[in-house]
Amino acid sequence: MSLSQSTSLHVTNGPVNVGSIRIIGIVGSSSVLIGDTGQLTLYSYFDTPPESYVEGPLAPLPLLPEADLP
Amino acid sequence: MTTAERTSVVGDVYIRQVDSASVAMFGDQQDANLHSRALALQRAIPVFNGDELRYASYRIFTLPLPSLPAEPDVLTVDNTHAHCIRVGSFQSVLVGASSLIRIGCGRSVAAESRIKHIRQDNRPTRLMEPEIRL
Repeated sequence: MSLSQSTSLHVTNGPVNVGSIRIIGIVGSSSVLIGDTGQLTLYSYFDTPPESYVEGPLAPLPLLPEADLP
Repeated sequence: MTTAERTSVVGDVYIRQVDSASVAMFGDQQDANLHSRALALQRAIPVFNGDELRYASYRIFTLPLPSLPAEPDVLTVDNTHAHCIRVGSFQSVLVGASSLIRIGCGRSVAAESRIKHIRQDNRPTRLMEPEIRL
């Protein structure tokens, strides 16, 4: 027997009271939610590897392909 | 799943900047789907020549997303009596890169941001600088 099939979840959402919120930054697929929500799926890719630091007069850029991504 | 309905009462809001596929939502909504991508090129000498870069040149923009395990089969019973959401004060300097602020109810949130960061020291080479004589 699968455990999940017999699982039931009862949610009672009461009143929400928030006094004061102070945030400097919300970035990179972050979320601040005050209220009810069903599903969250958040992805963030941030790429700064050591080799991203390049010294010299030439741009560290690959050749441009014919077409860009859609 | 149906979306719950509530009344949102917000006293004071200060948001300086909302950018790059971000949302500040006051009240109920259904689904939010946020996508952003950026090439952040930082140069020691800030000289840029227009549209220099292509997303297709970098693998980060085509990497597949990690898959999540399947949802368990759970019977969910919501019991929401339309209570109010009250927020006294909300302050945020920046909401950026596929981020979401929501004061209210909603169904699903899907967000994706991809940022490639390149730092380039494009100053003239040190060989061209006058030698230091001891």
